Amino acid sequence: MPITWSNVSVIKVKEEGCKTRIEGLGLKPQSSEILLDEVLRLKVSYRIVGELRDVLTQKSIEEAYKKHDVNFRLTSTVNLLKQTAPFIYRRVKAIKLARKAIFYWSRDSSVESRIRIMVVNENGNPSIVEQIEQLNEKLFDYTIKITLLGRDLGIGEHKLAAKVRVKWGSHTFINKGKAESTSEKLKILIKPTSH
Amino acid sequence: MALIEIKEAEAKLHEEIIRRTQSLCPECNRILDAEILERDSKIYLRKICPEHGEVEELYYGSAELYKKFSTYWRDGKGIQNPNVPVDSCACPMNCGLCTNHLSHTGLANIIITNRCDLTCWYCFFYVKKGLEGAYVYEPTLEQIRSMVRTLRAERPVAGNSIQLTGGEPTLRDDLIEIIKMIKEEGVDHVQLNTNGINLALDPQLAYKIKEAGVSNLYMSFDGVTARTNPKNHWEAPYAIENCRRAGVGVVLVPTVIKGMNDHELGAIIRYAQKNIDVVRAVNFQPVSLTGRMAKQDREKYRITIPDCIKAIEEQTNGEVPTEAWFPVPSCSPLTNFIEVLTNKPKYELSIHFACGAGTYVFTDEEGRLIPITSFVDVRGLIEYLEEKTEELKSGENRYKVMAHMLLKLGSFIDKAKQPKGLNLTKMLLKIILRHDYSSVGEWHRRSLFLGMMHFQDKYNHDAERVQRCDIHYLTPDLRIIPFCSFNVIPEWYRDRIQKKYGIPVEEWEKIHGQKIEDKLYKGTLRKGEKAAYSCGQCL
Repeated sequence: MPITWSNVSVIKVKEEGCKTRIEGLGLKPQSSEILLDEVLRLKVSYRIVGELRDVLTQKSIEEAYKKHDVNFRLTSTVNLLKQTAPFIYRRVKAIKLARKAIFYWSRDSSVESRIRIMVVNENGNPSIVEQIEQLNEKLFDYTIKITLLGRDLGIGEHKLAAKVRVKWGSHTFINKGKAESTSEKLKILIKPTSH
Repeated sequence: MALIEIKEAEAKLHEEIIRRTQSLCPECNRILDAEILERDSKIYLRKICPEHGEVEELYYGSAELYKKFSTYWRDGKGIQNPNVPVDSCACPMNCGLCTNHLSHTGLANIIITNRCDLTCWYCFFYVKKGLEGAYVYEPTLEQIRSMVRTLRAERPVAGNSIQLTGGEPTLRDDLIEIIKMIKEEGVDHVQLNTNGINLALDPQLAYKIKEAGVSNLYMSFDGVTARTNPKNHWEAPYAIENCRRAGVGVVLVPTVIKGMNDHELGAIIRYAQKNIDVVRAVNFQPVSLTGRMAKQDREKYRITIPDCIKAIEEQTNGEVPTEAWFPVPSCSPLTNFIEVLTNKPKYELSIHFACGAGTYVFTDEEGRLIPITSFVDVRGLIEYLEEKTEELKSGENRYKVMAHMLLKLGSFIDKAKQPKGLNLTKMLLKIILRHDYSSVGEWHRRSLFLGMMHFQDKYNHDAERVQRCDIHYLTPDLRIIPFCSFNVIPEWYRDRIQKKYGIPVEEWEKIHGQKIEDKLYKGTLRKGEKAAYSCGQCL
């Protein structure tokens, strides 16, 4: 088949599809209007998909364990941005969090594979995962709560967005890498305190 | 259904299985599947032997602490040159170390005699003359040299820390020769596990062992009253004073038994604090319930690491809070960082998170205990080291990483709260940059280490813990055996080996021209008079 521009484009899309990316990044407020002294509660949710999500299988984890690659660490930096002028953003809040997958040799004879996985989330809560789907969910699906005072933004209408960066180091199953995404903007109205 | 059975059934409804492992039947040593479960905010281990029925044992006194500590789980690299090659894992049957062991030796014990100058009723370590088949186990100097060489040959990390133990090791006439020989073989750290009585009686002995190369005593010290510490209450202060004069550090080692001495943990720490110039550490050992014991007796005496931590918090008026404690493998990020930085294998401290815990305390001018966590963001520092280790492993320039570390390290330390005269940033940088033994030594001289090490018994035995053990025994058949195999299943290890390499008591007495009982302690320092160096905590 002759190479055409459309073919090249298909190949490129396929390659990009293999790479790791952030999907479904959303920023949602509990309320789009609050008073100056009230707390603004926001939810940032996103999923990490592509190569990184696909490459973690029981087999690749066991291979990694054999080479003493026993601790996978995934760092996310969530920046809450406020638009101050067209194309200009100011950082209102930044949260850095790390999730870990710890691979360990289990003496649990009820499962076939001897290597088990414990995921430690950003709050330091551990959970031993039974299946890879569970691992993916616990390691790569995020819902993060951000709170700030209306006062931190000031009276008026504000356009906010979340910018998320994730990074990971080199392991036997993947090279080091990072991914980045920015959410759609949302409008928040801060009203003066009633008294 | 009997009321007790209904209660048990109800309890099971409110439990959650959080991990599965393997254990032993305390009756027949059969390897059994076991469940680690949470109930009433505590962790239990349960197993069922088809022949001897169900055994459930308290495993960890706080589910919260268990979960927190489990996040530091890091399997080690093990050793590259196992003495016992095995295809499949049958822990704890082939210890020696086997192919599947996950930690190299952190501390190697050598029993140099099983004779003792005390006859404590509960001790199973010493020769009991009069018992049928009693034997004296005393490896020769050449046997000990071979054991040390086996340790030094361990790869990827050559063993570098030895504890001489017994019985009472100071009963060996050639003790000084043994210490000197171990130093000649290139071992940096030699500690002497003793009851301290001979060091109390003979002030010169402390100088001799110091000169020969002993780094510190590991001295039994079960309480601050004669009632809780009948073993060496009157003698320990003399031993400590003699060590102070000779410049030998002391680690106090209380075996903690519920209802016996668990009310004195705070007082033991205060005593150590009073002697911080010579006492380097207190290493609490929750009791290991060896031998056959009824469930109600086990419940009466059983105490676990979180229970001790809680008691210490209460008995120090909150000066050493629960939050100050971290599990032993939490040190791994620091050693891993140095390993990646230097590209040389380092000590890993990769034991199981449930085996041990520790913290550092300093003392201020008012005599209060200042735990390291009150002026260091320990968790943040651990996270930072993990992140930098990963960057180095991923090919980041080491000078860039080091430069970042130089700038950043201070931010984890609250200089306003750190004890006067202490520059922790400088001390940490020395450890990280020089990563040598003297840097660690300097750290230890300025602080008091509080540790916990819970050795197992057949009731709470967890094969996952044994597989990661880094406190080992060196034996004349040139094996290296994990502590909790060696002592928990003596019929497979300790007794079998010592009998094989020991001689009958009568033969030993004939060869040496003395009776075993000749060396028994006559209580010279406990004639009812108050000791000159009394601990001052006596009730």
